[in-house]
This record gives sequence, structure tokens and C-alpha cells, in this order.
Amino acid sequence: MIVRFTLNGKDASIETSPDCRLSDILREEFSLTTVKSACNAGQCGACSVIFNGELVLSCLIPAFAARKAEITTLEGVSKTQIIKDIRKGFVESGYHACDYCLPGKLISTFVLLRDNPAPTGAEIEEALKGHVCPCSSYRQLVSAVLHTVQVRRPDRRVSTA
Amino acid sequence: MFRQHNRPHIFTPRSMTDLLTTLRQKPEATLYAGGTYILSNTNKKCPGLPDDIIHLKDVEDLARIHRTERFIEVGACTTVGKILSIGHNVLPPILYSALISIGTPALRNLATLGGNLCVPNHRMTTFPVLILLDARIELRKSGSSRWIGVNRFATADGELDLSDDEIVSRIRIPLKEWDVQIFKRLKTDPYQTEHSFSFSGLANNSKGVLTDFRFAIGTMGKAIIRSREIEAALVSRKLPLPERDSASAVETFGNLMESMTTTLSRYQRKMAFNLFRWFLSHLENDT
Repeated sequence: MIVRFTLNGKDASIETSPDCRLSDILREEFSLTTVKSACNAGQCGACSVIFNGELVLSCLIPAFAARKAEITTLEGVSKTQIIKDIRKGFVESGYHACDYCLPGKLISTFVLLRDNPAPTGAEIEEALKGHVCPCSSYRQLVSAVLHTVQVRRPDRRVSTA
Repeated sequence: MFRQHNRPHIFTPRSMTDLLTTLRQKPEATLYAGGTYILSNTNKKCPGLPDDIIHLKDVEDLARIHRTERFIEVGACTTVGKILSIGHNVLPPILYSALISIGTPALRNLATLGGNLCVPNHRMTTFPVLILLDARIELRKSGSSRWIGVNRFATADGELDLSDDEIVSRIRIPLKEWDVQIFKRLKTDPYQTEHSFSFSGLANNSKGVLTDFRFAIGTMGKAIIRSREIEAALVSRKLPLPERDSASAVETFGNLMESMTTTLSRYQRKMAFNLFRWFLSHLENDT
């Protein structure tokens, strides 16, 4: 079947089997390698993308369900100020993650800060809890996001609650 | 690079009428809402979906939320994320707690309430909570519809009371005030494991007398554990509960857990016992 959708702001289409996972299509047909095919069970967060404005797990979306969708990967938001601030905040706070899980964490943090510019520590924990990777400390990730919030809003006190 | 073939065959009805007609013609087709259960059950590259799929995304009637002073009505294909966005000041706190315990935010933007109720082999989160809240479900098929209580949606052997040509279309949740609402889910990670289970409890009191008392245990299997005997024994008791009433309820619950050796693991039975005692202590503190 031919599936048509919007990908990173541009019209896209692909002829594929209806049941192929969106994560594999994005990665292998469109060379969007920030989307990782890892667990294929919706458990690790490495395949996270923005789908019709919401953060979703692309490994749980078959091709037929992507019809007419608006899909954004990390490549599509990499030039935004939010992502630049997040990368800067992560570096300044000393947070390091492997290249396999980091894109998912970046896009999840992007969605969090897009929707909630001043999240509390608890809100950050809840938003990012779907990222499972042994490469780095979860507590350091939360601290890095808190630091990013401070970088973006130096005039406001950040709640670590 | 992906193999090209004509299966699965995808039906995409655009209205309820369309959907029910398609379902009547293809009762063996698999209904696809969020798809999180279907696709998470296999980690193969091409998951091999059923031959005929009815994709529910375009049926707007299934994703509406309607609210009155007495109830909230949620379309079966409303995502858990969208329901949560109503806010914890509007949703019953016990339901909010149950919904937010499902997976992660990204998963909740795909998973639907109807899908969570219809998952065939576990009744962990929304099922026990909606039973306690006296929620009702509308089941529709071409030419007819019926409403049943969620407590009757599963038959005695744990199967769903849903014929092949029926769909869950709406879930109506009463907005009754409760003095105590608790939901606890035990799990070792964000996702289900065999030792996961949930404990839900509701209670009301009036002038120091317990007027309503309900609890249920949700499991990874088809069973939902509830004891009307224990509930009835405590209703109309004065608060704080007399020691003998509390001890009797705890003993009866303990016996219930001991009879559940095939349904619950030893760890689950012990944790459920502790949670039941904790729930009783909450009656005295919160009511």
C-alpha cells in the first residue's frame, strides 16, 4: 500500500507493507537515523517521534496508521532554539548519554519544554520515565533538564520538587 | 526493501454507521484503535498483523468526551493521554491514578480506554477502577445497542461479554463524591510483569458511620478479586472501626488471599494483604 504523510514539514509517501513499523520506515526508507529500532515493544523510548503534535513510540505504529499524519523526528526540530538550549543545558550540566538513547531523550525533552516551559522535577521525571538505557543516570538526566530550564529562564526560580 | 503484499487488508470506516456495517460484514476482523497491545506483543521487525483490520482512527464519535455534572462519557477510542488532559480536578482521583500508571506519556498518547478494557488477558488498571465507580459501557452493533455495567462486562470465566459483531463505543463514568479514593499499582518497572497487580479502594462516611466501602484487586490475568462479604461486613460500622471489626475484616481478607494461590503469587498475596490493612487505616485518617 502507498502511505502518504507529512514528514518534518514536507510531504512524503512510501509504498510498503501495511504492517511495517513506522520506526523502521523512518530509519531505513527516509534515513532518519535519530529514530532507533531497539526493543520494538514500546518499552525503551528510543523510537520516540512527534505524531500529530504528540510524543509517541513509532515502533508501535504500523504503516497504515501513519496515513495523513504529521510526523516530526529530531532531525525536524534540530534547528529550533529549544533543542539548542537543551543541548547546551545537557553539556553544561555534564550529562552524557549514548548516541542510541540520546535522540529519544532530546525529542521527549523538546516536547516537555514546548508544552511546559517551567516543569518541576516531578514533572520532568514523569515526562522522561519512558527512556530506558543503562548508559547514564536517570537522576543526572532530570538534573540536566532542570539546568536547561534554568538556562532558558534565568529570571525564574526552578522548582526541584 | 519491505516485502510488498496485500495483507493485512485495512478497512478505514469514517463514521459509526460505516464501522458497524463493516463489522457486520467482517465479524472476524480485528478492531484497531491505538494498537499498543497488538504491536507490543511481538518485537518482530514486521509484526505480522491479522489478515483483516478495521482501523478506528477516523470514526470521530469514538473519540469524543462529554461531561455533565453527574458523569463523564468517554469514547472508547479516546487516548489515555487525552483523558488525563481533562485534569485530576475533574476526573475521579482514583481513575486519574489508574490512568497515569499506564506505561509512559508516549505510550498513553496511543493507548485508548476501550483498548485497555478489551485487552484479553489482564485486568490491571481501568477495569477494577471502573467496576468500583459503577461505570457503564455502551456496546453497539449494526441495528442495536446496549448498556451494561463494567462489572458485567467480564463473564464468570473471565471472558468479555462482547460478540464478534459488537464494539465498545462509550464508557460512562459517574462523578460521585468519595471521601477516600486510593489506587496503588505494584510493579518493578513501568511495564507489566507477572508480579504486578493493583489495589483500588473507595469509601464514604456520613456522621462517623461508614456508608460505602469497596475494594478490588486487578491482576495480570483475567481475574478481578473483590469480596462483597468483606465490604458488607464493614458498611454501617462506626469510625474509627472497632478493633474486632477491623481484625475480622483483616482475617477474612487473609483467608481470601490464601485461597488465591493459583491466581496470585505469594509476593502478590502478601502485598495485597498489607495494602488492605493500609486501606483500613486510611478510613480512620481520611474520613
